[in-house]
Order: sequence, then structure tokens, then C-alpha cells
Amino acid sequence: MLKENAKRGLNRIASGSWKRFAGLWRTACGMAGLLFDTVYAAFRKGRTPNLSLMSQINRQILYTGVEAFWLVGSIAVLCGSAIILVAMFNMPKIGVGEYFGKILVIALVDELGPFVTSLVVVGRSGTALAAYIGTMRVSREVDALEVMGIDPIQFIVQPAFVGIVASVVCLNLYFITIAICGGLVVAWLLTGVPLGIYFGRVLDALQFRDVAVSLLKSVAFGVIVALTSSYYGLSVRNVRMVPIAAINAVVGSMFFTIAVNLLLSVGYYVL
Amino acid sequence: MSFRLELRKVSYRHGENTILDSVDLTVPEGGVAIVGGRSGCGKSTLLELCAGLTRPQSGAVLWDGDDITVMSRYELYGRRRSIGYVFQGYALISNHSAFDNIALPLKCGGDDLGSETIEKRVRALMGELDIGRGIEKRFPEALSVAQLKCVAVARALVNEPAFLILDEPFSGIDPVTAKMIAGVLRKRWMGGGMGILMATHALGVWPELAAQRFMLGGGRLEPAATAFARVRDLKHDRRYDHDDAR
Repeated sequence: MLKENAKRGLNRIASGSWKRFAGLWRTACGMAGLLFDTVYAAFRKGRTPNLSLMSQINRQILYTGVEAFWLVGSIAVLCGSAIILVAMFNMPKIGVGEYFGKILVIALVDELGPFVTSLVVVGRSGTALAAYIGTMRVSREVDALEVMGIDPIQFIVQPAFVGIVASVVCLNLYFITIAICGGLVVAWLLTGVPLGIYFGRVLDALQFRDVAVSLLKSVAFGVIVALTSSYYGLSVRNVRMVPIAAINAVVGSMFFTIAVNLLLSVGYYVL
Repeated sequence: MSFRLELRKVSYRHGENTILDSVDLTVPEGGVAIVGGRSGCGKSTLLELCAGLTRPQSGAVLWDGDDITVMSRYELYGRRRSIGYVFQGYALISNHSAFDNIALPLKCGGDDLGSETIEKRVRALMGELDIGRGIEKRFPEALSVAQLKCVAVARALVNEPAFLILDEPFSGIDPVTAKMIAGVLRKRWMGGGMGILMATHALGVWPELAAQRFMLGGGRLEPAATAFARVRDLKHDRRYDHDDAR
């Protein structure tokens, strides 16, 4: 009996995993299609001008970037302080104290900056965008746009896309700056370490290539968050699907962000 | 500006339910067609098929002879700028004010109109439909049902469409506002030769106009006179049977 149940359970996990994988593949294909449509809608011949495009982009930047200012700043100080304190006290013990700057650059600039900001944006704006577009579908606002001859991709997805990507890039730069400066100041306040020396080590280790990689990652993560949230929002067919779209937007964005992060790291370090 | 709408043998099923069964309908240039029927009989679906929002399982929907069921999405966007559509549930854009909702087809409609022209046209329509300046900055959630209806009608009329599709434009509002909307639509129709297809329970609207009046039921669209005659005969037969039984 126990053996049978275990077998049935394993079968269910196997078939469930296959379904999940197939679902992720479908989502990835759908997102690629949406990316193509978004880019095509911006450059296709005969497209209609959207006179409210700039105000929509500004609104998206306000919700995604400006309103996340304090949250990202606080997380940056906390993350930066923790990493700097751990590195400051542990690296000399294992004899790699001279690599303090480089480790900090790798941890904060290359990895944590783009990843943490994209997580904050997923949690705050990705869910909101998926729910907003889903509600627009349920209340037939998307149909209303279509019947007016307005491309919903151009009207809804494009401003969200530009706004979210711009916000993630700016928040990433802001995160890195606050994490390094704020973290060093907190470490100095707590332990009285020589601030100038440690700051100099970080600046010495920081290269243009690190900043470029960080910016590339934040652009890629911004694209993923905007596309995943829009894709799940546009997939909504009834009001029961709105919260599911918000959940899927978070789960999908996190999964694709981690996967793309790995691909970019492989591209940067291995190839 | 002309627009001829034709439905040829259009069938639409939703799961097991047949909503429309080989329906034929022609609204000539500048013609008016009014469709009645019980709630849930498929009036809104018929209008959505006419606007290309839903694709039929079989049959053709022709706009000036061109079948829209085989058109690409982008081609359809271009053609739709010549129609206006009023949704039963208004479908106003929730993060746009009443004014911006009315101006939307002009701002994103392809014609490079200046902001002054847009404002002039929107204000003229707001005056016609008695939409006060006090509500122009309000968002849809702050508007009454009658105001929502007026804004939805104004949005449909603002780019001077060649054909107007209205889904229950008089339902849920007071008779005075309903009469005012009917008056504005009639004036527009008289002035510009705009075609109208309307789904409504008020089948007797515009009695003075030579409108085609239809009843939709059981997936079939038939002239209202035929449907009413059939119902009259049925009632008569039932009364006759009842008298016989007595």
C-alpha cells in the first residue's frame, strides 16, 4: 500500500513537473512573441502616434522608480552594511584581506545590485502591472482600445516596458551607490574602521566593465519583469484570474531573472 | 464617408451553446438597424462580431465588401478608426479622466490633430451631451451611470465615425438622459449619414425613422414584425386551446 502510494506520488510529481516545464516553455515563447510585438509596434510603418505616451511613461517611472526610492535605499544600506561588515572581519582571517574591494564590487555591483532591485520592482510593480492589465481586460478596456483602432501593445505594454526598464536601471545605480557608501558609513559608525582606506580600495577595484555588466543585467531584468507582468496580465480572461496573474507574474519574473542571471554570468565568466 | 456592414451566414458557438446560427444581416450605407431580444440571447456577441472583436466559427463579416474575419490585426486597427462602439459596461479607461477618455480616439487615432482642435471637438461634444465642465477632470469611478454612458457615447462619436455600434445605450439611465442621447444620435445620423447598429430592449426607439428592427432568439435573427406576429399567433392559439379546454 505504502509502496503504491509512493509510486503514485512520484508519478504525480513527474507529470506535474512536465506540466510545469511545458507551462514555462509556453510562457517563454509567449514572452518572446510579446517582445517582438512591442518592438514591432514601435517601429512598424503606419503606426499611430500616441500623444499620451510620454505622460504614461512618466507615470510608470513615478510608480516603479520614484516611489521605490526609500525602500531600495533602506535595503541597500542594510545589504551593504551586512556584506561590508562580514567582509571586513572575515577576509583578513583567511588571508584575503587585500581583495576586499574586488569582493565588494563582485557582490554588490555585479550581482546584488541588479538582482535585488529587480526583486523589489517585481514585488512592487510587476504584481501591480499584471493586476492592472488583468483588470483592464476584465472591464473590457483592452477591447475598447482595440475597437478605437488603438494597439493595446502600443498603449499599455510599451509605456510600461520603457518605464520599468528605465526605473530598474536607475534604481540599480542608486542601490550600488547607497550600498557602498551607506554600508561603509554604517561600518565606520559601528566599528570605527578607517573609512577613507576602505573606500579607496573599493574605488580601485571598480572597473568600467563591472558597471557595464551591472547595467546590462538591470536592462535584461527590467525587460523580463515588464514582459512577464504584461504577458500574464494580458492572459487574464475573467476576474478570478486577476490574482493568479499577479502570482504568476512574481513567480515567472523571479524564475526568468535567475535563469538569465546565470546565462549572463556564464557568458561573462566562462565564454 | 460611407460604410456598409454585412453578415453572411455567420455562426458562433460558445461551448455547446449555439449563440448565432447562420445569421444574415445587412446594414446599408447610412442605414439604421435595431436588434432586440431577451437578455443573454446573444445581442452583444452579434455586435462584437460586427466590430471584429470576436471571430465567428463560420461565415463572413464584411465592411464595405471586405471580410474582416481574415484581416490581420494591424489592418483591422486601421479600418476600425471609421467606427464608433459603445459598450454595455462603458469600458472607459480607468486611469484617464472623462475629458481624456473622450479625447483618446483623437490623441491616438492617427490624424495629426493639434491640441486646440482636439479640445474644441471634445468640448463641442461635451456640450451636446450635457457633460458639465465640473466632471471633465473626474475619473470613471467618480461618475454616475448616466454620466458614464454620456462619456462613452461622446468617445464613440468624437472622431465622427462612418458607422456606430451601440450596445444597450439606454439601459440603466433616467428617461431624460436616454431621450437626450437618442436625440444626439438621431441628429448625428440625420447630419452625416452615419450607419447605426444598436442592440437595445427599447425596440420602439426612433419610431419616425425607417430603421430595420430585428429580434434575436434561439440563434436566429428575424425581422421584429415577423417575430411579433408569431408571438401574437402563439398567444392567440394558446387562448383558443384554453377556451376549448374550458
